[in-house]
Amino acid sequence: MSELTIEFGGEELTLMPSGGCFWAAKGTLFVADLHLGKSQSFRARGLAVPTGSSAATLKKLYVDLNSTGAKTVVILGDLFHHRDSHCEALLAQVLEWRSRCSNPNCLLVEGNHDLWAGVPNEYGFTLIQQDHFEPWAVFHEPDFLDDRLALAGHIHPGVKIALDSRTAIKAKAFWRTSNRLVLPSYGQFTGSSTIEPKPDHGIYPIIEDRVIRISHALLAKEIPPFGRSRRFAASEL
Amino acid sequence: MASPDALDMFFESRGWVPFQFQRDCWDAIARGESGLLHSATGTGKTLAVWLGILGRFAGRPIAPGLKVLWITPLRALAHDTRAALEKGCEGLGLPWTVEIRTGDTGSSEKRRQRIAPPDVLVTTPESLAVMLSNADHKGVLSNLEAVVVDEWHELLSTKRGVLNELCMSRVRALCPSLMTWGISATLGNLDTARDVLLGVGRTGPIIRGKSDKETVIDSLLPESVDRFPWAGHLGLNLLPMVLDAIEETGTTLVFTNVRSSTELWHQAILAARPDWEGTVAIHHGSLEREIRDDVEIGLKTGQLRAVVCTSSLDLGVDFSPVDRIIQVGSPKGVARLLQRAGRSGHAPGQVSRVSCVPSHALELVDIASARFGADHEMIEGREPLERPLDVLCQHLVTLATGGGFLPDEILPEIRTAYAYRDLELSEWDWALAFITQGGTALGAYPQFKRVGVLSDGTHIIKDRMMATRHRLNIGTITSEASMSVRMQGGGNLGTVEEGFVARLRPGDTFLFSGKLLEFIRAKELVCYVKKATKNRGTVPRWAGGRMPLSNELAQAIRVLLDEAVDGVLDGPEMQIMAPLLDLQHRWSAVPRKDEFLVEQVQSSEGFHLFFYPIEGRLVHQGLAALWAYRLSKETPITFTMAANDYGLELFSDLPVELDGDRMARLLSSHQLYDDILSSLNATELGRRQFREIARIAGLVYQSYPGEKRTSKQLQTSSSLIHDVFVNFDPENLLLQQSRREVLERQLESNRLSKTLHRLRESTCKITQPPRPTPFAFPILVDRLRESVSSESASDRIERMAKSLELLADVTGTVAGKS
Repeated sequence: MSELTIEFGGEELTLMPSGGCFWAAKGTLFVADLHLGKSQSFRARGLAVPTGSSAATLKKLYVDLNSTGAKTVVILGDLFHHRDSHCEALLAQVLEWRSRCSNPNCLLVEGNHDLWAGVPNEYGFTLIQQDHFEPWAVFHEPDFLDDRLALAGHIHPGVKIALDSRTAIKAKAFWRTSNRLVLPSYGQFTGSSTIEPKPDHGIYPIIEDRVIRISHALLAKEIPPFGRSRRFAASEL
Repeated sequence: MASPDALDMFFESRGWVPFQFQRDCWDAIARGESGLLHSATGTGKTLAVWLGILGRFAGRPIAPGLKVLWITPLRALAHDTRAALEKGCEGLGLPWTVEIRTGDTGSSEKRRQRIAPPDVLVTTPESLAVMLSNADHKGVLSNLEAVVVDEWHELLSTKRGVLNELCMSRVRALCPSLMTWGISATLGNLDTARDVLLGVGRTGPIIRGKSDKETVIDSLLPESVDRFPWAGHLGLNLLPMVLDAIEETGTTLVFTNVRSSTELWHQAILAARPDWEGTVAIHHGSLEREIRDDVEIGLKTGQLRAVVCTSSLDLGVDFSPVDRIIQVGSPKGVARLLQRAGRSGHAPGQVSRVSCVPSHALELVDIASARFGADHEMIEGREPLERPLDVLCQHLVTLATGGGFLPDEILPEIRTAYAYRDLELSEWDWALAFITQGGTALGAYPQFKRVGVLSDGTHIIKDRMMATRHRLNIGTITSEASMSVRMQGGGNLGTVEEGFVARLRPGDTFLFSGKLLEFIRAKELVCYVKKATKNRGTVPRWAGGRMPLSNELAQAIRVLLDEAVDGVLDGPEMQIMAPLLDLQHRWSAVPRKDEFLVEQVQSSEGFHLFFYPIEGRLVHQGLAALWAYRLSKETPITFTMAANDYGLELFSDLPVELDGDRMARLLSSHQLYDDILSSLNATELGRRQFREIARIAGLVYQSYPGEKRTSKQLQTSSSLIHDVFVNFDPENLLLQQSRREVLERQLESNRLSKTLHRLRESTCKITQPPRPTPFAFPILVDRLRESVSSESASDRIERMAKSLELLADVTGTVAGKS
């Protein structure tokens, strides 16, 4: 496991290979887009997706809270996937997770999925506003037009890196623009969408169990059709 | 009973004389037999089967209802087929209605067809499956007397073919005395083709169509091989000769191997001959239906001078006016070339002529070998698929939607489908559990709702939403997410892949549908364009890409090279190759058919190993990964690899000793499949293959352009589903199927294993040429390379990042100094 610590708005933040972002100064862990109960809403509509992803997401969150010693966890939106996601089993899993983590302070920035799904009180999450923390705001959708500094989720950022001309790997990534730090999706049953960062952006993909810093130049570009590399000049023949 | 007299009169009235095979066909049908009719295109196969069936009805009182299903693999062919069938009805004076039911048929039309079915229905395997998903299918199909499957060879080795087998198992259960006829191009495994078509426990004659149709295979040749590139993809250097060929013949079809070269050739021809504007058209599978229709009409009426096309014109009805075929690039297979050749001189009795245009020197050998293969009837077979569970699951849900089924009653019926003749009970139980409970009996998925089980055991879907969604997802064709290309002022041109559009910036230009277009913007699933004012653009690439040499063609190539060593140069292509083969011989060797040539070359860059199994690109890719893996297990080393149809290259910084022992270890079959799976990025390949399986088995829903986005929370990528399965249900049989399909279909593991066997029996000939040989060069310049390495991905990326930084430092310094 290897993490990466960056500076954002004058504060040190640790980007974790799990997709979490730890603010050591305040003992606070930020995560985004858990989409708990997603597979369940698929099954209810006839798509045979196995169980286990919500439990695995909660287990990962338990491990992160344990290893960092964070007392507060902030979900940057999309805690739940859909209203069909709510059921006894999921509630029991979440409550069991809370008690195993010795009841951390659970805060939620409401995301678009949470709006549809609803966040019943018994789960024990407190909704917070965008200006809950200093020195940056907390958003679900990044809303790039807002010029405050902010942490955000929602877009599930990912990048493609070319290892050679035939192999590219796709990875979830933290993405830092001039005023946003966008977290990758934390849920086990969530994917990523490829972002198009500008050269001055920070790109921190999660490769295997490491968060690494890469430059814009490493992102995979499509091979131009019919562009051919010639390693030998004709005169060599 | 049939009146053969009526059939004879039909022919006589047109001044035709029936061929013997047509009479054979009529007789067999008159006896109520099923069977398979095969021959080259354009020999009157349709007429033979159709008139035979009509003959059975002539003079009989005609009951209302659907009597004949005519299944065609391409819905684009449906209209021509209907016209041909109607002509037959008229000729025999039968007042039958012939209608079409495909994905394009409107819903009110479909409803009408269910209430008042026509006498004959022209349809596709998918539409037949949709019919079975309606509860009233028993009533509609119960009077069927015959099913004809047209272009059966196109379906045979595909999941669509399996879907067709399953549908036919249902139809035969409803109509036990049904006749089944298949119409096919000639195949190397006709017995199997017949058995798969007719189903388990049934048999019938294989009738060979008229075979004396003369086919001429020749080439457009440069004056000398010196003027010919050793490698390349386009072959535009022969453009002047292609122009001459088009000029001197009536109507020409110019076939290319991929859609993107269609666009390039079309543009090149018009750039050279602007006066041909309007008479040289383009046709490929991504173009809008209306555009293709216009081209097809233009062909039939003889208004077009030439059409540049891909396999989209391989199939289909009569294009009588076509006089000559031009094949650009390697033919890749004997049957494929003959099929294309058959597009010219389509009417019975005419000569088919195909002229091949090599795009680089070695393709001359391909062409000569294709002719050799055709002369020696080395025709490729198509192997049917064995019990794909995804298609079975889809079929079971179809039956559950179409009124429900009892498992014990339906299992024997399923086993009459050839693909499932050996279906094991455990697989059957798994499939039932999958559609009712999600997981296996022990690991049922909570809250899963799909197929319900009634108290009497009937498996049924009652939820209308779920039934509708299943009907929309019937089928086995998966395509890349594609976007329509639309002119700003309206008018669709066709589709391109989403990934291509994603790379376009407003103002970028690209070549499509024979036009140079400027990208304006993309909105939802539409890519808006206008005519470009610039005169250069890129060309979209479509997935599907390059196909490998067929087994038979590869074999023919090995024979022709062997003859060349003895100084026998078969045909003008081989003769013009002589200087190049001579160079190959002087620098290294031309392999005999029982020899395995290996070249070791050292260049300023490092050490190259070239191996020439001559077995086709797919097998070579597999071998490259396998050998790189086996070598790197012995000593720590990193290789980059490249492959083409003739051979493969392993390149490294370090020299590799190749002695007899080491060669034997490379060629060994010991732990072959384990080594293949470890050597390739098997997980990634599996993930890609799983896309198709997930879609067919109903694990993901395909969204449609214009579909309401209410199902958005259900949309996910199949690769994500794949990972969820790997993590939470690793024993799932669909995952196992995807691994098997990766081995069998993507890597041709059977052929790979046979190749290793052949190479073990061959004499290994290792040479050290002074420089890359004519055989090596095309592999060397291939831009598609991949690597085998023991480093982890994150290490590799960090190293790449460092080298980039170094590069930046160096260039920074240089810039600073200057």
